[in-house]
Amino acid sequence: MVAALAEWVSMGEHGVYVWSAWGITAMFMLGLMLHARFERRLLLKHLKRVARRRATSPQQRGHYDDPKA
Amino acid sequence: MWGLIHKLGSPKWFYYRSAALQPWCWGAAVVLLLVGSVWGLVFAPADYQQGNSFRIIYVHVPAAFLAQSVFVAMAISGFVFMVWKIKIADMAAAAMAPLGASMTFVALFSGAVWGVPTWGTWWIWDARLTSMLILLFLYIGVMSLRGAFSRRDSGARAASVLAMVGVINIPIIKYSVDWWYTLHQPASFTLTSRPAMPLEMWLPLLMMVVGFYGFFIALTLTRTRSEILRREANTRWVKALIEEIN
Repeated sequence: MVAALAEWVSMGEHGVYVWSAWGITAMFMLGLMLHARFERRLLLKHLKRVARRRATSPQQRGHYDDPKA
Repeated sequence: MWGLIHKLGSPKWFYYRSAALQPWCWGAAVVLLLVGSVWGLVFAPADYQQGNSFRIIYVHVPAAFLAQSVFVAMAISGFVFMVWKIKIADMAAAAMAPLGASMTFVALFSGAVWGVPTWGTWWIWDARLTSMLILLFLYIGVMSLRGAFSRRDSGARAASVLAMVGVINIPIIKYSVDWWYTLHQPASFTLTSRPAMPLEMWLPLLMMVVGFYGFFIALTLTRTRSEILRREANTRWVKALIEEIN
């Protein structure tokens, strides 16, 4: 079992090539996925903060709603 | 037909319609990629000439496909944006550029790594390799051009023009292996002719290719939706939406 696993990982002396190519690919795809998620969460947080500020502080109201202010 | 195009151009309509589609795209992409990976890494037989190093094909070929397809999609979006002023086309173009650049890099990197055991070199100035490197620079150019203007619209136009001009590189990449036959082999994966490899090697490759395209669609949907909220933040419907989840 362990020997079979070790043999698979070694890829018949091509392990370093196979795993580095697959590793970089996985890293980029995971990174892109996490980035999209993080970007969305950050944006929603920001938009919610702006909305809350608009709703709670009357002084700020003019700043956000009135283009002349 | 025109009604649908008109609706597709509406950020609000697109945002709500794509909400239901998005999890399915992600699910399909992740399942295909996981099954394809296990199949390609564990169950596909080793190549009789290349041994196990051929397993790099399962990331190299799909990444190279995406690298080119994303650029074509970006050029088409740029054209739609420039001609019909459809903003959502530009949002999609902005959303997909980093993926295209990443896939170009992945194709170049995995190719270089694959070249060491099979060609005995990680790089030569072969037509295919060189035109792919130019593609990477084009992606970097499109992305930096977009960010280089203080007015978003100017950056969007500049990026669109560069994408539309740079797309000429795509047929050069595609036919480079036939026009200047130096080192890189011609296409070994097509849907139009009989597979050049046994089915148990070809099927996982097909899964990976479809999985990569699914990933492209899912990521572009997610990022375009974020971009819509960002750019439409001052519209009534986005304000109401934020109010709702607040």
